[in-house]
Amino acid sequence: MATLDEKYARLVDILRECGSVCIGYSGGVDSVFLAKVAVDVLGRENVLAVTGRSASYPAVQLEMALDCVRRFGIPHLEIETDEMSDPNYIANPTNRCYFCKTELWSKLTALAATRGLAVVLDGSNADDVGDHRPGMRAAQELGVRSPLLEAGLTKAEIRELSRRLGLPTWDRPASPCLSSRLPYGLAVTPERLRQVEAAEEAMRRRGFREFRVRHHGDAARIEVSAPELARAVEQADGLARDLRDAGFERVLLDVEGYRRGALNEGAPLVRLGAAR
Amino acid sequence: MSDVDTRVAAAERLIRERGIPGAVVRAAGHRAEIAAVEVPRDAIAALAALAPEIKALGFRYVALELIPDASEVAATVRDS
Repeated sequence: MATLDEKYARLVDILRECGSVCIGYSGGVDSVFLAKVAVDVLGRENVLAVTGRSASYPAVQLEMALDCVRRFGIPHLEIETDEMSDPNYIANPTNRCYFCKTELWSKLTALAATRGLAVVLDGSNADDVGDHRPGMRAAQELGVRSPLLEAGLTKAEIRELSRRLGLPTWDRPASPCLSSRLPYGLAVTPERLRQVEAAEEAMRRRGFREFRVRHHGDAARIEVSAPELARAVEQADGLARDLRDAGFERVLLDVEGYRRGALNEGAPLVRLGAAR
Repeated sequence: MSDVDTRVAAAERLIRERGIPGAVVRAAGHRAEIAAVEVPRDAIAALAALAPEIKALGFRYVALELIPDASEVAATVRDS
């Protein structure tokens, strides 16, 4: 089994093979790490980190993305992605991510060709393989490479290497797009995404660190990590007020707390066109 | 919706039998998949311990209701 140093060396070799790269850059743990290492290995002139912006991309995430760009000299570009005009995406089927990523990677592939960058990269890692990740299929179809995954790096290992490199993202909670807060089959709309973003911003202002606000139509279901659950109960009235201000009629605190992927626990497959 | 009513009544009975008095349960969410429970907030740990049994009655999630009055209003509006 490869050591962490050996995996890092493998990542460096993969990046050298690529020569020049265009990186899908969300500002999360994985893409910040990948962009930093790419700049270190290939030089700024051979790297472009690209952030796809849309209603499903939270403003707080963009702040982190831009902060790292400034601090680590990462060449960066923002582009608009248009998944919200794709009825397949809006319908919010179980393969919603496929339609979003097809939009993103199509744009990045074209951009890379225009800029003369040899390879498009994503930040998928070794832990993503067993998960339900329809977005990875879109990446494969468009020839996007996943160097972190190819090097065998897990999320925990990427966090450790990020810590060693002094990246502020090393201990940041995972931050998937806002659409992931809507259960499959509930249509993705700009208004619902705004509600979730406002509600989560309010949670952040109250000092909560690892949580999700799940959108269930008229109800918000809050998941907070186990260590923060008692505090959520203490602040229940304030939370209820904040989330009502964000547009929810009902505010619910999940008694089991935050767990990854909980929104679709036991969810049946939802076919396209089934959204309300 | 008799299916929902059955789950709600069973959940209230279960919670009461396990020593949490006065619980009110409503089905919430766009697919009525959440057991939204009104109990004293300090009972959340006891409620969490019951979550697997409540879910087994046909709910996907178990949650504490933070705006009891608002849920009454929402339910009234929907039923009318």
